[in-house]
Amino acid sequence: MKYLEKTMEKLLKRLRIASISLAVIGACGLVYNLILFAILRPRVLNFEALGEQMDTLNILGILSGVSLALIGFFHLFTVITLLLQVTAQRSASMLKILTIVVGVISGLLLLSDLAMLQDIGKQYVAGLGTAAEWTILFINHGLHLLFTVLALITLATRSKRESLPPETAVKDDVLFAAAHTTGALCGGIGLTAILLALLTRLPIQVIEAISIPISLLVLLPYLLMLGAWLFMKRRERMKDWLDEKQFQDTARAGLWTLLLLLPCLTAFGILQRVSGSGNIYDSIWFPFTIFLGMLAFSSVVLHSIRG
Amino acid sequence: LKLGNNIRQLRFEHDELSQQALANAVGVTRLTIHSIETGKFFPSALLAMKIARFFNISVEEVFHIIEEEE
Repeated sequence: MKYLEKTMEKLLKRLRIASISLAVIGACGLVYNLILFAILRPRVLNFEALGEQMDTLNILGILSGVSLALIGFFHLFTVITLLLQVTAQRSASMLKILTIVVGVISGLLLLSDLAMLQDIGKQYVAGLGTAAEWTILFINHGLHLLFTVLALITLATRSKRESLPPETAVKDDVLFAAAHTTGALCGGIGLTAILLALLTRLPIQVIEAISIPISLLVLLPYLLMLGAWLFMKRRERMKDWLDEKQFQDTARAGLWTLLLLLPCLTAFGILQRVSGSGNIYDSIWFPFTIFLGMLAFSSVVLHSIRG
Repeated sequence: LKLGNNIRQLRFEHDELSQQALANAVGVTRLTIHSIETGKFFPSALLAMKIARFFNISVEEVFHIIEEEE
């Protein structure tokens, strides 16, 4: 057992150092991409001829692709390192959970970066506008940058608890709290995204098209953390998954969530009937309910744990 | 009426036993022991008996009723 603990400790130390190095490389890649995009954007938007510099642009494009690959590798490595820290070292600060949540969302948005770059190339050749694609690309890179900063802070900070050997726990409470912190964060992010969509008055068709992919994107960190918790519980009987206080806390949270969701669902039902078909409430009621439920349930559990 | 307890004192009398060690012995999380000690959570009869049995004393020696003054 001691040997396993020491091996894990060594592995985590090496992963941490490797992640910090990758974070620095990833940050350089991000800065490179941002500078390249800032130079290219006005020229592409104004349909300036780029034929003469095509060779140089091809090399710059390949470098940008390499940067994205490195950034992706850094995302994957860091999220795995932090998840291992949460499960093996039983260390789950709010900052660490936030970094994992942002990391998963930001990592998946790298695929959207590739799609946007391809769209920009095709639409430039076809003579079509690319303003929306550039905006998405810059927002995504803003999120990658936020993750890089959070990852560097999280990886560089060693809490007192991490420097001490963790006391073995038969019943784990760290991962339980971590799963609910993730739930509260993801619920909050999801509700903020819906609120932003409403405030910016996005067309209903756009909201309909993006609501499911964005909801899945925001849900993924929560599912990941929940999966990690279930993985740790796989050898226990289901009735032993929670101890009696955790059971009481989740029961209380369930009651509060029900009390909050019932009037919300009633309000949505009334609004849908009053507004007729093709209204915005048809598109947002489901993600809104899911995220509000997550935020309420996990927040009450966390409050009960700490209260 | 409130439920008071001597768990913290009993832990210190048992070689400064940690909350985690007691939690492991009775099959709950460390936070549950912390919540019982601070009076934020009242354990079930079964858990109260498990804690008493761990310290090899009766339940009444671990837990006691505090009558609140009006």
